Order: sequence, then structure tokens, then C-alpha cells
Amino acid sequence: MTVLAEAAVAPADDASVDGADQRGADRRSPGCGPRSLLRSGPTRALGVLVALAALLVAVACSIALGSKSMPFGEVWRALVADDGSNAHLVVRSLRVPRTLLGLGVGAALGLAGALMQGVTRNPLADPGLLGVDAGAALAVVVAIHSFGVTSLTGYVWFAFAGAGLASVVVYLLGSLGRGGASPVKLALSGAALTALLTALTSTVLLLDVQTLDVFRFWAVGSLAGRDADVVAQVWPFLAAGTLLALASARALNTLSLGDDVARSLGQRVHLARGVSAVSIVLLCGAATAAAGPIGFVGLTVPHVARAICGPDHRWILAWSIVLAPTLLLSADVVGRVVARPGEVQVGIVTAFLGAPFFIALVRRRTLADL
Amino acid sequence: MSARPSGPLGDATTAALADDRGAAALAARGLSLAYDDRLVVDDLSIAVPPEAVTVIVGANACGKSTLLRGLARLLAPRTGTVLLDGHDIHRLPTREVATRLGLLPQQPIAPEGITVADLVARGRHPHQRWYRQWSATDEEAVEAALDATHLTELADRTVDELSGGQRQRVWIALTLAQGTGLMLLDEPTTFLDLAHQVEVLDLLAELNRRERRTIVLVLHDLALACRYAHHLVAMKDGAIVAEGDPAAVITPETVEAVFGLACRVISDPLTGTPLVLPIPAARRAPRDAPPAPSPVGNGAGGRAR
Amino acid sequence: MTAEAAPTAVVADPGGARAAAGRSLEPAGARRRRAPDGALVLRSPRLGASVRVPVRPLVVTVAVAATALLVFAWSLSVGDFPVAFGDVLASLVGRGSADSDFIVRTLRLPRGLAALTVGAALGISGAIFQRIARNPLASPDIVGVTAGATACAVLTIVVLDGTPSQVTWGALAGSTVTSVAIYLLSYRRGVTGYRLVLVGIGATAMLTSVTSFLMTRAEVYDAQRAMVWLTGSLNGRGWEQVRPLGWGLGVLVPIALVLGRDLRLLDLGDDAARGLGARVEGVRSGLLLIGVALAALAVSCAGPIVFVALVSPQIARRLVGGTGAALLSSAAAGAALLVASDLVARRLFAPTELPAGIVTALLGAPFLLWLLARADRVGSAG
Repeated sequence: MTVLAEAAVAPADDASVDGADQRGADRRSPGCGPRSLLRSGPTRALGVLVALAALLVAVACSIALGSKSMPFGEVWRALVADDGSNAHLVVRSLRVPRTLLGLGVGAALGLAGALMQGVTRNPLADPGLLGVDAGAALAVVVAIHSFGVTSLTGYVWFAFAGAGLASVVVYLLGSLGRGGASPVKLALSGAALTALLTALTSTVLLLDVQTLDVFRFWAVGSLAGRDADVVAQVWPFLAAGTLLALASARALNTLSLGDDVARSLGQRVHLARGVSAVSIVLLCGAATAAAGPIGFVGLTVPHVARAICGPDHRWILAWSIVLAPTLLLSADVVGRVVARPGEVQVGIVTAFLGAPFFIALVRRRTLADL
Repeated sequence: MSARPSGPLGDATTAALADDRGAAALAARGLSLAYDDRLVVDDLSIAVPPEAVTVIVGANACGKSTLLRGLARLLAPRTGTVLLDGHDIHRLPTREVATRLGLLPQQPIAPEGITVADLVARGRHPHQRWYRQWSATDEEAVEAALDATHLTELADRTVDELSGGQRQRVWIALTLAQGTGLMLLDEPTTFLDLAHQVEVLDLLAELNRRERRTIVLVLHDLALACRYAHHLVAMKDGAIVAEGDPAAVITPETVEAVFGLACRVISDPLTGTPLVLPIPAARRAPRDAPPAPSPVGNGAGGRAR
Repeated sequence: MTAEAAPTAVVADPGGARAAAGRSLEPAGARRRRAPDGALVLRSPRLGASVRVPVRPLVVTVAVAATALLVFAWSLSVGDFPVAFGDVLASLVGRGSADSDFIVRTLRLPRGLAALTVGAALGISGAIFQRIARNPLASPDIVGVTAGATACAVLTIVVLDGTPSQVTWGALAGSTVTSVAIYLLSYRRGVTGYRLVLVGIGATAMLTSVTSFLMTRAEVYDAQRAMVWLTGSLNGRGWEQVRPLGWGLGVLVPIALVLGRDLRLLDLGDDAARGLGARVEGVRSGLLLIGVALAALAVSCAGPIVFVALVSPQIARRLVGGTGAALLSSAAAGAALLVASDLVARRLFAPTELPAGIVTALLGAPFLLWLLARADRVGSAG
């Protein structure tokens, strides 16, 4: 139920337990929020380039390192020449697709998270709020239990369908009544449906231990074993979602001023929200379908992006699209290296290593004030 | 102290309060207030005159709300002390302070669905104990407070359905029911239209006049501040620029210093208090040129009170 | 001037002036007085004492508690081996047959008591969090209690192959350590609610990853055991689980009630509350601590059944009226909700037992949607 907790706490509701009263401070100097790390356009652009460089390093590591240790020379040869060796097989058909998938899934999760937080105007929103994760999980469980599907490529379509259906239901429920789909209503309907779907999923898992045995590996989120087929299945959706997301950046900036101001500035609020929601479902649904539910990335990367570059959504999206895959790929590499010859799934490592980092950021006050 | 004042709270209560009120001086010495590392008020000393209406004015973010919160014991000072009746306010028990000093903060929260009478009744908390949860005095105080704020007919309505002006009166009634000699109000008129602003300020003036309560307000509107204040405090950047009688404090020089606004000061034709007229941008003459004749006719010199 | 005349008129002639004003706070001449919030007031002028008796909340609490106890009694009787009511009573006293004694006293009685106490603890905990956060969607999850308990419980099941009793203690240890750690990590010259939530999210994510890791490394039957615990269930809960919970409730609830008196002031906002003499930080920290402790105890006993914490205060509030989730009525509502859900879970697909957590989710989700619909009608959503 952290989904609910996240949706519930709006930034303005700041119950201070002790110490200085934040509300007083913010009241005093309106519009003077915390300073982002990089303030001017050129510095931010430079920053993105630095982050891109970090991403390239992560990509390189992802190809070069793995659960089977291989000298760099061999890796390079396997990439450029087709000599049919074992190394070539590992690199070309395992690591490269895996890296590509990591890039795609990471970028998708980062973007989806940034969009979600922009659309709901709630910095604690998580793409799972729309029921994507729960819908995908239930669909996969049904696939395993009723249709005996056990291949990863088989899961992809089920998961995507489940994610899509769940989000549609959430959106419809949230748009009932006056005012259409407002952030609070979306959060409530998302939480309700997530709870329902999770309960149903748990029921099936409890009744059928074989399904549990298969499902528990999908449920942690992993890039392992996904080959080029999986990548081919999801990349059109990732691409479409990314395009829609980038197109919504400007609309998000206007939306963040509040519905009324946005409308007076000529923004079609419901259309903008709808387009963003479609994009979130495409991105998050495809990512979950391909790699299983990976939490934490969609929630925290946009936070970090905002702390670095301020509230302009164009920059936040740019930073998210670069930072999130870096985080994901680095976590994947760590997972592959740390438990040789086995692996620790990326969904576990991301949260386990990312959380302390996130908490450290929160303590530095750059994230806590909004 | 002069003859015992009577008031809506009933003779006994009023008499008991009157003895407190005469000595209910609120003062600060060398007060510094800060939020985290940002020093807002620096080494400020002020003495609030008893049984008078004191108004604090200043530009945005000059520290007036912070000063009020420091005086009201909401903010612990970095250095310096706040004295209530000569005692350090932070050493006094919270409950005792609450029986002597009442605060109306900015943007108070009314719980959803609460009635007017219920909300005002919560103001009696400092006087209640676990064995004295709703005494006759409490009841009378609430009735008197509702009466003084003309809310008796609305006592059963929910606060949510009231207008902004009415809601503000409910909060004032709560502070009234608290029965304190000192009332501190942080921008009580900010979201009200002019009629309601005047209504609220008239109420406060009446309370000061009839019940000799000491009232400290933060206001934005200079004209209204000058009308209602006995003692005006002008602040800038966390320090007091001028304080005293409004007529003495509000001069073109002070207004320029505090607000950065070129203006002329005339005497309000209705009340005789200072009235600030900002000089329109088009007409702003160079400093040593004589001012153009004002259409009001009173001239810059008229400050009769 | 009427203004001048009116005050003295009130002093000299209370009835008359009130009549003149057109209404009165109470019917003239009535012996029973009512405080503005509707509570009955009993006064003794000689002692100088007066007491407010909140009639409606009291009646509602008693009624809901009675319902809970009725369902509890019923649950003692039904099951795979139905025990007639007379036999139940006999067994309670210790004079029943060996069979029914075993079923009633060893199996169903502790389980029913666990349902009551876990429900009550979650109800109060949820009420505390919702009042303090002034937000109807707040719940004890925020401070990572659930995640800590879960991680430690799964660890105990999967790695240490613990008995149910050991799992309970493990979960309790986990939630305690987590809550303390989260509090300390969010302390930076004081704790703001927002920072607490963010740190809680980080900690929860980390602990959830630990849980997932353990689930993938476990033997499949251990994973199944863990899964049962994870959905929140009262299966097989015995006296070893009920006792710590009982003690906890007995000690913490009275303290919460005493501190809760100041909640009426906290509702008005921090500044107004301080101005009225409430010790804001002390009351808030104390109540949060109690809320966390109760949630920890509840989750350790039955696993994460958190819908109860969310939904019971809302139910109680709507039944009682008034302005905020009241602690005791939320406890009663929580107890009733959980004991009913557990009964349904036990009997719906008999002889298979569902975990109670699934039933509460199936009941809670439509309730949330109803809240959604209601909020929309009132116009306070969005």
C-alpha cells in the first residue's frame, strides 16, 4: 500500500514533528524554493552531456562485464568480428540485446515516472499508480496458471495486455463524475484497483504452488534471459511512448501551474493528461512486459532530475531519459558481477543500492523541500 | 488601574482578567529569529504598549510575520528574549502563556464539517482541565465571543459554508473566547474585501476600547493601519525602521525607506490619520524639483489629528 | 448604541438577551446541557467539576464493539467442526468435552482474539496517522513498518525455517529496527512529515528488494509459506501471538487516549494549536510512536493487512459524525472489520482457507472507490 501512501501525502501538507516550521519559511519568501544544482541553460546542457558520458560508460561495462568474466580484448573482437567463437555468442546474442533492453526499459521507466509526477502534480507519484504493475502481474499469473505459458516472450503480450487494461479501467474510474480525471481521483482509483488485482493475484498464487514457483522469478524484475526477440517485441511501443512523452514536455510545464491557469493559457488540460497517460501506459507497460516490475526507478530518478535541473519538465525528461538507464544498467552489471557465476536480478539491485543513495539525497535537503 | 471595566465575559471573569491585563506587557530584547540558517530578524527590541492597538507594517518578507511568531512563542529565538509580564516567555508553562496571549495565525485550518460554535469552543482549552471539561464560564465565554463577533445566528452552521469574512470572524471569536488580555493577529485581513476588512478592524478596535485588550496586528494596507493603530511599527529587513504614533512614523521619507515607494502623505479627510498617496510613475519629478500641486488640496503639510 | 447595551444585557439577564438574539445554545430551562460539539455535559458546581460525555461516539463505539464481539462469538462456533453454542460456553469455562475444548480454546479462541486485537491495533494506528497527517489516505505504511516486518519475517521463514512464534518475533524486531532507523535518518534538526515519507519510501524499496531476493532464493515450499504470510493471514495464530499484542494494546491505548485529547487542537493547525497551549511536538511524536508500535505489533502477528488501517477510521468517522477519526471508535471498527473478514476467509471456500488479507482487500477496494465517488459529489476532490 505504499502506492496509497505516496499518493496521499501532498507536499503542502507538511506536519512538522519538531524543529523549524517549514511552512513559515516558505510563506515568507514566495516563489523562492530550493535552488537546483544547475541553474542556467548552458550548464544544464553540459550536465546532460556529462550524464550521457556516464551512460556510455555504463553501456560499455554492461557489454564488457558479466557473470562470465572475459578479457576486454576478447569482447572487442567479438563485437567487431564474426568469428563464431563462444565469446562472440555470449556478447552478441546475450549481452548486446540485454544492454539494449536495459537502455530501453530504463529510459521508459524514467520517462514514465517523470510524466506521472508531472501529470499528477505529486512528486510522490509512481507509474504503478495507474495499476500497470498490478495488471501486468495478474495477466502473467493467469498466463502461467491457465495457459501454461512459461517463456519470456510469451509473457510479454499477456503482461502488456494486462497493464493496458488495468490502466484503462483506472483512468475510466477516475474520470467518472465531475471534473474528469483529476490527480486525486486517479490516485484513489489506481490504489483501489491495484489492491483488488493484487488480491486476485495472491489468491491464484496461493492456490497453485507451481504457478508461484514460476511467477516469483518474473515478479522481481530482471533483464536476464531476455534475448533479441523480446527487444523486438517491445521496441515499437517504447518508441511510440517516448515520442509522445517528449511531445508532452511543454504541456507538463503548463499543467504544473494548476488546471485553471493552464486552461487560461490555452492548454487543453484533459487532452494533455490523456496523451500523457497513454504515453505512461505504453512506456511502463512495455517495460514491465519485457523485464517484469521494476520499482523505484520511476519514482526516484525524476526526483533526482528535478533536484539537479529545476522544475522545467523539458529538462527533467531529458535528464530522466539519461539517468534512469544509467542506474538500471549499472545495477544490472553489479548484479551480474557480484554473484558469479549466478546473478542477482536487476530489480533487486536497483532498489538495494539506489535507496541509500536516495535517502542520502533526501537528507541533504535538496529533495525534501519542494 | 481605573475602575473595573465590565465586558461581555461577565463581571467576575473580566475583573480577573483586568488585573492581568494592566501588567500584560509584551516585550522583546535583542531578539534574533532565523529559519534554518537564514537570519530573518536581527537583534530587535520592541515594547508593545499595553491596552493599545499596535500594527506592524513593512514590505513583503521584511520579517513582520516572523516577529509576530517570535512574540507569540511559535519560534524559538536564536538570541535574545521575549518577555511576557517581565518573564521569559519560553520559561513559562505553555498553558499559562495560552491564558494570557492569544494568537490568530495566517491560514488557520478549520477541520472539515466543524460548526462555528464547536470551533469557537476550542478556544477555551487553556482554561480546561481533565476534570473541568466544560464549565459554566466556558459556556458564557463562548456565547459572549459569538455575540461580540455577531455570529450568534450562525453558531450552528459549518465553517466551510461561510464566506471569507465570516470565517475570519469565527477565528477572532475563538481568540476572544480564549479570554486573553493580549491578542496577536497575523494578517487577519489579507483575503478579505474592503468591507470585511473594515468590519474586522472595527471589531478589534471595539475590543480594545471596551475591554482594554492589547492587540498586535500585522497589516498590509497602510491606510487602514494608520487609521486603527495607536502605535505603528515599520519594519524593513528584519529591523525596526520607525515606531510610534502613526502620524509621526508615516512620512514620505519613512515610506521611501521601508517600501521603496515615492509618495506624498496627506491627512485622511475623515479621520485625520496619515494617508499615503503613491506618486504615479509618469509624474515622478526629479528629487530637487518642487512637487506639482496636489489635486486633493490638503497639501503635504496637513497632519492634524 | 446596541453594541454597548448588549454586553451588559447578557451579564444581567442571560435568558432574555439570548432570546433577544433569536436563538440560544440550549433550550431555555433545560436540565441537560450540551456542549457545542454535541456532547452531554454533566456538572457539579460544588466540586467545580464538569465532564463532557460524547454521546454519539460512545454509543457508536459500543454498538460496533458489540457487533465485533458477536461475530467473534459466532466464529467460535462455526468451522469445519461446528460446535454448538452451549458447548462453546462450556469449553470456555473449561467444562466441555476434550474435542470441543481443543477446538475452541486452542484453535478458535486465540485466532478470534488475534483478529480482534490486530484489527483494533490497526484501526487506532490508522486513525492516529490520518489525524496527524490531516489526510484520509495516510496509513502506517509510510514509515516502513510493514516493509521491515515483512523482510524480517520472510528471512525467518526462508533462511531460519522458523516456527510461527519465531516469525512473529522476527517481524517485530524487523519493524522496530526499521522504524527507528527511518526516524533517525529523517532527523535533521527535527523531523518534517515530508522528509519522513521520502525516507520511508526509500527504506521500503530497499527492504522490499531484500524480500524479493529471499523469495527467489528460497525452496518453493518455503516461498509458499512466505507468500501466505505476505498476504496477511490469521491462520494458525495462537496464544503466543495474541499475548504480546494484548499487552501492547493494554499499555499503549490508554496513553494514546490521554495524548489524543490534544488532537482536537492539532486539527486546527500547528500554530493555532500552540497558541491554545497544546504541546504540539510532544503530542505528535508520542502519538506517532504509539501508532508505529501498534502497527508493528499488528503486522508481526498477522502480516501486512493494511487496508484495515486505512478503512476503519473512515468507517468510524462516517458513523460517528464529527470532525476527525476518533481513536476508540476506529479501534472498534477495525476489530469488527477484521474478525468479520477472517470469518468470511475461513468459511467462504471451506475447507480451503483464504488469507484474511485478501478478503479485506476485496472489501476495501470498493470502499475506496466509494470514497472517490463521495468526494466527487462533495466537490472536494481534485
